[in-house]
Amino acid sequence: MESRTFAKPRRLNVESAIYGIATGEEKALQALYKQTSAAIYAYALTVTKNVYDAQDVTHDTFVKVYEAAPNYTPQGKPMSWILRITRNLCYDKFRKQSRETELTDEQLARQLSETDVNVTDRMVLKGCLLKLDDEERSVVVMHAVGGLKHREIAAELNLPLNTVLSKYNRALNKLKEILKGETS
Amino acid sequence: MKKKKIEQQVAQSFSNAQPDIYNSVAADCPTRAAAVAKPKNTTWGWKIATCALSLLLVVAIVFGGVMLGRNSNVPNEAVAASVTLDVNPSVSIQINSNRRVVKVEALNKDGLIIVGGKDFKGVQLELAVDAIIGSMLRHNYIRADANSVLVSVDSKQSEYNDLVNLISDEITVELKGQEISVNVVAQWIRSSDAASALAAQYGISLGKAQLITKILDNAPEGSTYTAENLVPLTVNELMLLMQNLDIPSDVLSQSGSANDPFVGSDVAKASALERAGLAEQAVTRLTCQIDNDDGLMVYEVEFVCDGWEYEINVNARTGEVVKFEKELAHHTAPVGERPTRERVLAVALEKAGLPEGTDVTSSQVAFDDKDKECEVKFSYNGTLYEMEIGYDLELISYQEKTVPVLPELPSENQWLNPSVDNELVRALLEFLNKKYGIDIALENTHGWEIEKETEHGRTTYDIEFKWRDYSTHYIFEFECEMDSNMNVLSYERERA
Repeated sequence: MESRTFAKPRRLNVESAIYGIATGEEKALQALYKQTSAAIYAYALTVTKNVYDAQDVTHDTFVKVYEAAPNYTPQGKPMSWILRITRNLCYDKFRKQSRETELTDEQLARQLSETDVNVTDRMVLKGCLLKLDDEERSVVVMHAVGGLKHREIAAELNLPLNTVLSKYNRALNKLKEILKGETS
Repeated sequence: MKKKKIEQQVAQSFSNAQPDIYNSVAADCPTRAAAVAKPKNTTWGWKIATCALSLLLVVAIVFGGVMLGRNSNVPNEAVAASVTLDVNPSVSIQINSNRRVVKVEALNKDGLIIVGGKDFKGVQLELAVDAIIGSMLRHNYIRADANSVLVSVDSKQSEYNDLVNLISDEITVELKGQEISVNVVAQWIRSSDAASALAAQYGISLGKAQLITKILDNAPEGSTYTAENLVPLTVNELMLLMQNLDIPSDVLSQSGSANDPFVGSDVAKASALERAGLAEQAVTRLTCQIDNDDGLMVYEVEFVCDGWEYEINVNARTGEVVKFEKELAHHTAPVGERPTRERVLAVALEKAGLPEGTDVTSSQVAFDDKDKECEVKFSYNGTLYEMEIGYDLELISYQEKTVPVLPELPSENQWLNPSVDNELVRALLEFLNKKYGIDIALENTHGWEIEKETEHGRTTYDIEFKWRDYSTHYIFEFECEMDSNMNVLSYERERA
């Protein structure tokens, strides 16, 4: 049976949801969660490289968005704004813990063993978290999961557009090799 | 594995790995009792209707005490003003208080072609502008499809209008003689350290630097702009960005009209609304922004009507709708038993306006028993359809995307003989030459590999080749991706 495919967050839906949260609409928070939780968690995971920290950051991101919703002014992509909140929360976590995590294969395997991911998912996550550098990882997740355009990512990460494009291609080529190895 | 598939797999894997923490989030975010805030709409207070700037002409004139190499003992040599003409060639003209030329200087390689060995000393400013514009016309820097001009004047405010009128008239008359109707946009250069620093750092004109600093200074929190990614944009693209921002300005004027490759937001909105079958008065939250969608310049038109949220992409050059999406803003959870695949497809065909039993290609139906929704995809007649339909057979979301007609291009994995030329290769080399400031000639290339990928009705080309730069004798390897509209989606160069 074909499984339901992931859908990138859509600007108008995210914006509607934020507005709904600000004005007390029922189910607005649920709508926002449905649209954005995957992208937020993915990005948090790529920055923190820790499943539990990513979970905490995801939770805190929604709380921050909820608190800021009444003052939110729709300019640019709302997803950029949300992922910026996520990034800042990740760095707050690093500061509090006085560390940035260096993830090992065994640690990742142990963390993923507590999730429902299949073999391919495990391979992809391992590839992203262990084989890509920080910028490659951020670029891939922000584009593939967060739905941001390359130019938007360049602005968010303060990188030249050319650099973002080439890192993206390099990252996909690395993942292609990993997945080839898995299927063969 | 195709890049698109890898991208989808990455997204799906992260999505599958995410834990469901909604309940704990909801516990910390109770529903508010009353309306608190109203989102502000973005507005822009500076209407610049230029959409055809492929060349930039900047004239910066400094009056009133800005001296460059002044010699007060020789009044006719005293520099009272400086004129910078920037059309890709960049030329500086220094004039005295009588508006006669003291010195003309090329600021870049193309400027050297324009200026050549000419002597402009003592010539009236208007004649110098005529000669330089004429040279740019002859060398094809100014053309019918590249006819817009940005004039930046640095002077006393009292002098500004006279100077702009003088220069605008000269440019208009000169180009009218060539049957090119010009669009002249003028701005007053204000003394700004930021603009000067930007111009010096990137080697661009002060006028363009001023535009960029205006965008950066007035871009709201959350904007995606940096100097580095704005500098490569044409003035036309900068103008379009400025339209989306609320940038107050009282020093910009416009005359004439541009040969505009873009249809404009009014046409785009009309096209989108027509496709949706709605009148503008019937919709709310109508927005329209220029954007780039997989290499195609589009207007993204969005609006809400009767509980449906619409997102429609309009081809910026043709005004045709290329993507149509609508989704229910809120819907009650569907109920009912899972329908059959055939029933779902029949409903999907009806929603797409296709007759029952239409023979579609690549149809897929995915069932989500948890949300009681189906996801349907199929292609028909060059259009890709995607829908979400509830188990109660009610439509939740709808998307259709047209696929561009593919021109005649090389087949998969064809090794190109260097003597073989085609539109794709020509477009790519033109792009790379401009981007890197190099001069790749086809006969100096080899090892071409072009791989065509078609997925969901969309075709892209992965292209690799090598080029020997005879000025340095280095060999460079290029890896690029293009779409069927001849747009370069990505490019990379490495020294072999």
